Amino acid sequence: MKINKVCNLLAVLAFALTSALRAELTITASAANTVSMALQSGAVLLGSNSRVELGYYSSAVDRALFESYTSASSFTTGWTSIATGTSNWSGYDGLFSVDTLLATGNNTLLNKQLFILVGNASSIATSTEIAVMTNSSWLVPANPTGDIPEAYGFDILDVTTQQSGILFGSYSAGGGAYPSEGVVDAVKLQAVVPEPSTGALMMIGAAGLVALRRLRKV
Amino acid sequence: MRNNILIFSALIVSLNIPHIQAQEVSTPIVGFNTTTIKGTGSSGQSSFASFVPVNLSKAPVLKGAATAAGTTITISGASITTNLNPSAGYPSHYLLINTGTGAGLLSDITAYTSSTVTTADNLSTYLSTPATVSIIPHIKLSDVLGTGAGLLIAGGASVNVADNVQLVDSSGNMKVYYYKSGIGAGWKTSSNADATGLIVYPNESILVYRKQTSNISVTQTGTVADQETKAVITQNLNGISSGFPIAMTLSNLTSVLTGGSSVGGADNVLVVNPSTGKLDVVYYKTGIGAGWKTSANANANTSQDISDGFVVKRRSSSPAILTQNITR
Repeated sequence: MKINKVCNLLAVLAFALTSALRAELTITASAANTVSMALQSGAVLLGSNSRVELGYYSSAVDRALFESYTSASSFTTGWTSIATGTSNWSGYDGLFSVDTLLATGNNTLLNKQLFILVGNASSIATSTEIAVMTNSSWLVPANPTGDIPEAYGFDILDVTTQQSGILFGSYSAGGGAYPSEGVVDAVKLQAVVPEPSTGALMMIGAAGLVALRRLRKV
Repeated sequence: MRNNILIFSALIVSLNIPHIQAQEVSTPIVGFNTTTIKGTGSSGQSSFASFVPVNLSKAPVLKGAATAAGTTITISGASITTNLNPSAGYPSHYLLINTGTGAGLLSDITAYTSSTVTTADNLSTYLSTPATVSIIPHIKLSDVLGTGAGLLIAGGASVNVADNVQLVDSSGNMKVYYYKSGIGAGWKTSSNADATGLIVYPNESILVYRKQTSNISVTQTGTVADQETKAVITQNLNGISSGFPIAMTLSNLTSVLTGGSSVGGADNVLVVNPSTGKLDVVYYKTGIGAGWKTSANANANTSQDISDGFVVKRRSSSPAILTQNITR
């Protein structure tokens, strides 16, 4: 019995050592690319106070769903963010780089489709314009085995070949973001149509009353 | 390779005889090279990574002018008596092209006659005109890290407790080896297959994960290449060291590898982080903010000496070639 216990202990120890040796997977999403593509609000590059998030949705999403949203906070429904940043990478407005490190043995994200969620304010919920992008190839790969770390990266440049991946926002060729650097295209954020506020409803009601009074005068 | 010591025992003799003719006679540079395999120290980590370079070769058994027809190389005037056949599944010798456009390229010898050798690769393109070639014995893993009582790293009863050694196989995958102690002692694969005859190619690096706290010095003796060296970098992983025991940095790889807009689209280079003892992934970013970057797009350390070794993950199916020269 003692021998068995020792064997079990050794097995656990061996597993722990093996696991401890294994490397991590870095996932990086960026728009810090070569030929195309920056983030813009209209004709203006997004600055450092803009929010970029890398993550995934808990259930299927499509353009129709996002078009139906009437508040920015709705875009975070079912959303899990795994990395955040601003659209000002290395001092360049409109470009970003966000990354996360997945420890081996903890890859619950395997094969999840990743999304880039962008807002024109410091948080998605307070943004008035938003872009949502994904790509069928943006799938979290398996963690590396052995001791060799791996890096998986992608950028919004992929939307040039799969523009249907822009689920909210639009692709704009020749946006002229950094023409001197060869970056001429853009993903433009799209305005979130606000739900009529209580104030707005009261204004509508007041207008109705005025109309009624005018009708009675006649 | 800041801490490495290379003692040149070269005899570079210049004979300047007035009024007759100036001649230069030189012999290969022979010496030794010491590399440190770092231990975990007081870091509390389970292992610490170090690269051990293989850039000193054994003495050639034959050198001469050669022509090629396919994979058959005919060496002028040769009378080969050394057994060049593979041993226990591993090639025992390789053919190295010394001159011409193919200088630095090498291929395993798979068969031989008294005046010809058959190589694993077709080198005829590079030997269309006679070029000088050398036949050189391979260096084994045991030549570098020892065996039996001369073992330098820590062996163990299983791969989980011994220091681990990693080499890239011919398919571009990293394989783990260790020195098994006790019954059936010897170099083994991680699944305990015999790896006694495992070879390490010139310009290749050995990745060692040391699990003990203490550092180890590994001293290799041999000949420094007296020509340019070529490391052929093929798709997937490649374990590489500098072709010469001299310092090199990431900048030496800038024009060799393929950069990209993101880490996922560029060739990746894995270098040891001297602080953490883990491998960091770096790449050459093109376009805005161009330069060597970490996988998270921070600036990479471009002053770090990576001559002891690094791993390249090549994306393209087209090989890249790292060509190096030494001026002596």
